[in-house]
Amino acid sequence: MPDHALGDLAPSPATPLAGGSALYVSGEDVLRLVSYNSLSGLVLTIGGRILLRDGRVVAFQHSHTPNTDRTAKTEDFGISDGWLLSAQVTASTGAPRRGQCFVSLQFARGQTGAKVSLGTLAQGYVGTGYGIGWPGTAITSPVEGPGVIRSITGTNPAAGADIFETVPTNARWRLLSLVATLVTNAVAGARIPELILDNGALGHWRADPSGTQAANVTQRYTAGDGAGRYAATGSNSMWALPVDAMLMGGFRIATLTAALDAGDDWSAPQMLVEEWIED
Amino acid sequence: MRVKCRSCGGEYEPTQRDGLRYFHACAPLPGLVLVRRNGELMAVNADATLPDADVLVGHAVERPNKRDENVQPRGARQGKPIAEGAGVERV
Repeated sequence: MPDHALGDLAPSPATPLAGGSALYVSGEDVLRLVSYNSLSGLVLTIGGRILLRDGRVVAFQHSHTPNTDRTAKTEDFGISDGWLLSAQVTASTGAPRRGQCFVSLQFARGQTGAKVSLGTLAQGYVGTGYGIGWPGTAITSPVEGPGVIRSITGTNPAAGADIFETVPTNARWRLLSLVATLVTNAVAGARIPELILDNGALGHWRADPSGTQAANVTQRYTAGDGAGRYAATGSNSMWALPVDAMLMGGFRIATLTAALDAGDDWSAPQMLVEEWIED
Repeated sequence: MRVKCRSCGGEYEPTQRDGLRYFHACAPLPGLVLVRRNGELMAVNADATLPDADVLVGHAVERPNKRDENVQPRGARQGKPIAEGAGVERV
């Protein structure tokens, strides 16, 4: 019996199975891309293939520029009537690392007005040299697996002010280490800088340093994941940090320095964190 | 590019070396904590010994005209800063 090209088959209730794909898409359906991103200059490409009802396999490709503040950006792309064979999302401009750009590839019904999301095809982080794709990629949560390691220089406070850092919106941090220097002026008095981790209002971790700081002294303070508070040596003091100090968006890392004089000066904190996207 | 916050005087880099944006928020007023005393919220000296009846509400008292560049996550103001404060100037 001669072979029949797919194009010879008349559309029928059985033809949705002919493409070998479980996903028949009608003219009312769209591919929806939802991205959460922190990296500037990133452009994503969504591409794939569709088996049309006339038997032709056509490729499609669209661009998507995510936000850079970790908030969601949703974009819908019209697709032809047929069977979706494959779809993927990759970075076409920029070099994201795992933990910086999280995407969800879905299909939705509706061309105009309110659209209804009907299914998630693939979901995960896009990195340099890898993306997510359907079929094949699992649907993962943004806080699964390792995040991106970041070394962050915080705000250099004005004289007389304490350190104050906020976990950005839609980020989850694990604080790995922190170092900052306090320079005290000639005003007498023992300064006691406390390290505080809080939820935006109340502290859940308060650590005294391993020693007080007198006037006219430059002292470096260090905190490390799971590190205890060893006795101050020379110009170094320690704060204890809990193991796996997880902080949600809006949580804060701050110092509260008893007897801080208006002429005392904290440096900008240098923080090492592991970061994930988390809406 | 380095900027200085006009609300609190803090200086920072809006874009970090890894290419990610930094979202500054002003530090609270130094040396004060927030307590509830006789049903009223009060800012008191952080170094003072608090009476037993005081309830510590927060270890910080926000400064007036605080700048907070962290963004609203969703809604009509998605992506907009929580508070502009007095703005910034280039250093």
